[in-house]
Amino acid sequence: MIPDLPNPATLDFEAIGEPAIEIESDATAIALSQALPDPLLRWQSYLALLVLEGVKTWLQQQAIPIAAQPSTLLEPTGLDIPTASYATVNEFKVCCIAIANDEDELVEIPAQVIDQPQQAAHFYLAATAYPEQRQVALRYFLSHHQLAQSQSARRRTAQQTYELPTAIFETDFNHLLLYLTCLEPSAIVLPTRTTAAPIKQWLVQPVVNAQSWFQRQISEPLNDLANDLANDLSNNLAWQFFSPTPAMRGMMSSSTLAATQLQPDESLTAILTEIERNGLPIPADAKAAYQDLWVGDRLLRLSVVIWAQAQSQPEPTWSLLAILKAASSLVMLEDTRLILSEANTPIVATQLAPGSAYLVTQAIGNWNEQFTLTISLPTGESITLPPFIFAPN
Amino acid sequence: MLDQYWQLVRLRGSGEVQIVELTIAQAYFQQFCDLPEVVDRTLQLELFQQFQSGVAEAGLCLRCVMSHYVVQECRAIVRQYGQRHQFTVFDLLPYVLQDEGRLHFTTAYRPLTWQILQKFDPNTAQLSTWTARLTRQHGELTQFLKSQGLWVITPWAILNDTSISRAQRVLREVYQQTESEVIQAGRVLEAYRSIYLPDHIARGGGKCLEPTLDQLQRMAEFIQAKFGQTIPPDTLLTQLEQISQYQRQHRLRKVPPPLPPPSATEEPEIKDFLTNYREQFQRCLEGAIDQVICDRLTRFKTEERTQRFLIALQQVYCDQLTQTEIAKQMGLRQDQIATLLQLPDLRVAIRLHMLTHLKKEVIETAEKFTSLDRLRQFDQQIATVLEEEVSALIQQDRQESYTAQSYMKGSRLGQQICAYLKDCDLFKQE
Repeated sequence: MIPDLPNPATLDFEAIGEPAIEIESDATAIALSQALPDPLLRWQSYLALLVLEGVKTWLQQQAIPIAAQPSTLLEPTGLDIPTASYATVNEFKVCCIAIANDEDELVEIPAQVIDQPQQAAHFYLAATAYPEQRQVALRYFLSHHQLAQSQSARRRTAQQTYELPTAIFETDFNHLLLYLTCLEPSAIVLPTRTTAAPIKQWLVQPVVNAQSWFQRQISEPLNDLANDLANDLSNNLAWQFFSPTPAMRGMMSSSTLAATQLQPDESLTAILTEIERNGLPIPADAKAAYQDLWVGDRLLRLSVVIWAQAQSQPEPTWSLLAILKAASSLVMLEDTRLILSEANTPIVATQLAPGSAYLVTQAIGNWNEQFTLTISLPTGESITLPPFIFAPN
Repeated sequence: MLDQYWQLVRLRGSGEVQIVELTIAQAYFQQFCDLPEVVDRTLQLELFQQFQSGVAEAGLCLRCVMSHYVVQECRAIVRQYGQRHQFTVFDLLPYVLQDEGRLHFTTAYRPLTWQILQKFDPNTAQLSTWTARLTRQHGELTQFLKSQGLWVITPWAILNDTSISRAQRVLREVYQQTESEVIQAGRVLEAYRSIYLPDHIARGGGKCLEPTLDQLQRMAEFIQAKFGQTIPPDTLLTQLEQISQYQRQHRLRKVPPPLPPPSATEEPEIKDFLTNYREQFQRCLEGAIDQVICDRLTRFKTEERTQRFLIALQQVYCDQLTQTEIAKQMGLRQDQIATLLQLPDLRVAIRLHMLTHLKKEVIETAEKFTSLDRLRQFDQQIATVLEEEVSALIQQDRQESYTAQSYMKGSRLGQQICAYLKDCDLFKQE
């Protein structure tokens, strides 16, 4: 039955494709894929995240100024169905797909990427991840224009994917680099968004360890705080720190404020005051940060306020307060939802009522409990943030 | 062939392979075995038993024959991958052929052959197989091969890298398995991917270990529950190994296609561009060289490497030495110089920087970058001006860049880099 195969004990070498990129750590890829509620969706997510990490490392090695923007992971639709991660490079959206290290003449792309206009990217890139080696090899890429022209060449599979012949891809990644750095974004026109389909995405950022936010002294200049956190797993420079209570802000000298380039968000302060007035006192040592993120075509501002209650009985607890509002002067879509989950189970979902400008949700947990936040639009699109954990050192 | 039991293959300090006859081993062996013809396996088993009971001479005889196996294995690796990944048997031997043939050791150091002997289990496999396997797994050797773009892949890493549908396609189309075999493989793989992969992520990734008995049991339960089929865990393991083996075989068969020749489209347009924007072009070129070289310097971890890089760069562009000549002068190998300089990357980076600068400086040019083809043409043209047509030839034959002296001469990029190195005070004052 078995043809002339070598002894299973034989160890054979395999070639790593070129150009091969060494990635420093797969910690974020592991943590984020591990956070996916369905264990069957984790492996392909991990591979797509490794590829993303490889692409980012490759770009950093080029000494070309590249504007960093949040990356996302498309939640896979089932066991063994590959997925994609998205990076924004300068103004180009790059869709990253993991492919196996074989010389198969087909690249498999998740159907969502091709069928959903909002998932269209300027460039599609296929790379092989070598998890054991912590390496990624860039293999193929094509532009949106080339993908659009491939209609007759591609085949839809039973696994909710499309197979594309490698022949229609380009392989010289110097050309991709050239496009990403020098091309005008207008050179590639992406399809206009139609009615959105329910697409789940994850924000690719390190897990936030609230404990390391909490440990900081408020008197420390806030950008030192950011620098200190740079070596910490919980580091996340996407987060802008701010002082959650007006009283604390008053205590900070104006020079500190200037030095930290803190941009206090007046409306956020007003919201916090309102929350306190409604009966939720925010301790003076609470830590707060916000970030702006795109959900579908909406730019939203998510703020989190974190504090610990070491004296709580019977055991110490920590608290996560989340506030969602529109970034800038835009308004949020009615029925936008903010969902808070604990250990992959949604525990609170708040929905924007007519006339409201923001959503608030709060969770209190033991120190070993972790929470995730999901923002979902009435159109069905959603984005989930990496978990917030509270892990004392 | 019996003389291999007292002839040790070793490396001279100069790197040459030498066969030395060890009289102690010879004397012991001839007294131990006086038959002209014996089966290696029986003989090795007896020698191994002697070695285990404390006879160091028996171990020495085995180490001698193992040194031959080590060389054979290295030759096999070179035959399979050497040409494509640019290494010879002399690159491999120093890592694994270190046995000096001492009967007793005075230091803590133990050669690979001795280490293999310690782990040898005659019930599992022959000494030759055992030696071949551990030679391939040797840490420093695999590290070297990794630097040449090769890595040892375990059956589990192969399975992890292959989706169920792909694996099934290979079994069906390449190995002509029956539909029921393909379906069976699909079930086994589904169980594997549902149990092993989430566990592997939860463990934090890393090396792919053989599935544990607990995992195999859970896979068996999965198959029982989903397909109503009973498979004992050890059968499951064998089936997984077989599927992986087919995939490995298939992957090995498929050799990557040769790299396509670079397409060069040159147009006279660049001349107009140069006439119009000579000043900007020069300024951008200088800026790009400065930026790219400075960036390179910040990435070297040691001062020694930084200095070596600058010296090598000067020798390439100002003294027009070949990489082979530079390697000789520095006492390094040519591939080490190539790794240090990474000239192709350097050239690409400079071109990219130029284009980004030009984009800012020349609005008319920026308008041209609204089409992929136009941008690529433009990049090609700049490359041509910078490297005076020779680069296309070089790209076609990388070997040539090591020897062609004419290449750097008259190259605009070369002249400019040389001028830059002379102007700036990057060299550390001795």
